[in-house]
Amino acid sequence: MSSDERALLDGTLAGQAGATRELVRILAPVVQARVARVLVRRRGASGRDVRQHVEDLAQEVFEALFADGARALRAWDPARGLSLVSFCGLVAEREAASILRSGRRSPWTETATELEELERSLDHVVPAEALVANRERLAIVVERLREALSPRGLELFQRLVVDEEPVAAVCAATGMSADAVYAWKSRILKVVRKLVTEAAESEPVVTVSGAAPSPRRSHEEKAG
Amino acid sequence: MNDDEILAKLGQHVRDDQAHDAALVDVARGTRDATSVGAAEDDEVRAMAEASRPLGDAFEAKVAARATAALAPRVPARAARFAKLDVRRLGRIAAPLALAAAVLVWIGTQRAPEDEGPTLPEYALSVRGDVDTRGEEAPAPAASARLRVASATSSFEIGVRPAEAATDRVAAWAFTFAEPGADPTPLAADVEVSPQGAVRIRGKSSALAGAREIRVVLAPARATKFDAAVERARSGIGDAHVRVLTIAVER
Repeated sequence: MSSDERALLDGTLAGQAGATRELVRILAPVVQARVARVLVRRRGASGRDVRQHVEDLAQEVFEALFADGARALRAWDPARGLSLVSFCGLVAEREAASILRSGRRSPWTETATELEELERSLDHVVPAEALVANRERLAIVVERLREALSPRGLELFQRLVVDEEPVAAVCAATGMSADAVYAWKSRILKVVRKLVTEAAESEPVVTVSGAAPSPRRSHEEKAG
Repeated sequence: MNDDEILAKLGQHVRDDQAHDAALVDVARGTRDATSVGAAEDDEVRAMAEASRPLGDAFEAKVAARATAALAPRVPARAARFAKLDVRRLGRIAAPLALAAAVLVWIGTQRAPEDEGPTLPEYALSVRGDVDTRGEEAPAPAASARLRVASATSSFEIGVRPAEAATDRVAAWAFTFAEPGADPTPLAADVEVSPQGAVRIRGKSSALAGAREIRVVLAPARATKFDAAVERARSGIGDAHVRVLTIAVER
C-alpha cells in the first residue's frame, strides 16, 4: 500500500495530472471526514450550511497540503510506518482546527510553533489534576497541541499517546532510537503542561448560578 | 497525577474523539449510509455523518486542478519532459486531429513596442474531443473554438502552435469557467510546452465537469507568473505579450 502511495505521490509531485487526480480521490474522504468532525465539534451540530463549510474547509486543507511545493505532503515518510492516507488525516485535522481557530487561509505556509520555543516559555507549572479535569479543557489542549506539533510530532503523539504503542514498537515502526522517542515523549509532555496551564488560566473566575461557563467559549471570545 | 496519567487522560480523550472516524470516512467514500453512524440520539455524531456525505466528483476535480496548478511551476522534471517535445512532433500529433475535424484558428498579432517586454508570435489553435469538434474563426485579437464533450469518460486534446518559434521560453496555463464572470479554475490536464513555444493540453473530459469555457493563457515564462495568468484568464483579454485563447465547451 505504501509503495502504491509513494508512486502516486511521486507522480503528483512530478506534475502528472492523472496521479494528482487519483491522489485527491483517495485523500478526499479522509480529509472531508476529519474536517467534518472538527467543524461539528467546534461549531456544533446546527447550521444549514454545514456542508458548504465542510467543502470550503476541505478545500483549504488541500490547499495547505499542496502549498509551498506540497511541503506538507513531502514530509510524509513511508519508512516511519504511517500510511499516506493516515498521515494526511492527521495533518488535515491539525490544519482544520488551526484554520477555524485563526481564520487564516493556507496555514501550512506558516511554520508550526517549534517545540523548543514553547519549552523555553515554560515559566511555571500548575497542578495537573486541576487542569485536565474537564472534557472541554482537554479538547482545547489537544487542539493547541496539534497546532504546535510538526508532522513528525503528530505521528509520535498519535502512536505514543493515542494508540498507546510501546516505545519499542514505535522504534521499530519509525526507525528512531529509543532515546529519541523518549525525548519526544518528554517534549510533548512539557508542551502539554504548558498548554494545560494556559487553558486553565483562560477559565473565567466568576461563575453564574453555580455553573462554570464553557472554557472553549471564553477562549473563542478572547481570540475573537 | 503523574506525567503518564496526564498523557493517558489526553490519549483517552483523543480516542473518544476519533471513535467514529472510520465510519465517517466510509460515509465520505460513499460506501456507508450516513444515517447508520452513531446512535439516533447522538446529534453531534449524526451531524458529523451528514457533513461527511461525499462532496462528489466536481469537488475532487476542482481540488486536483488547483493542486496541479500549484505544483506545475515547481517541478523541474516537467520542464525536462517538455524539452523533448518540439513543434515538428506537435505537428505530427496534430495531423490526425485535423483529419478528425480539428480546426485551426490563427490568432492576430499585435506587435508591441520593444520596451514593453517580450512578445509572442502568432498562434494557431486546434482542438479535439472524442466525438465531435468544430471551430469557428473569431475576430482578432480574440480567438475561439468549440470543443464538444461526448461523455465524462472521453478525453480531449488542445494543440496550440506558434507561427514561428518563440524567442522566449513560453509558459502556458489553462483554466475553466463555469459561467461568464465566474472565477477561473485551473484545468486538471497535462500541459506540455515545447522549447519553441508549442503547447499541448490533454485531459479527461471529466475535468470539464460543469465547465462552459476553457481559456488558455500563454506568456513568456520569465515575465508572467501564475497569479497574473489567472487575471488574464479572468479578463479574457490578450495582447502581443500574453495570448488568451478561448474554447467553448459544448455537451
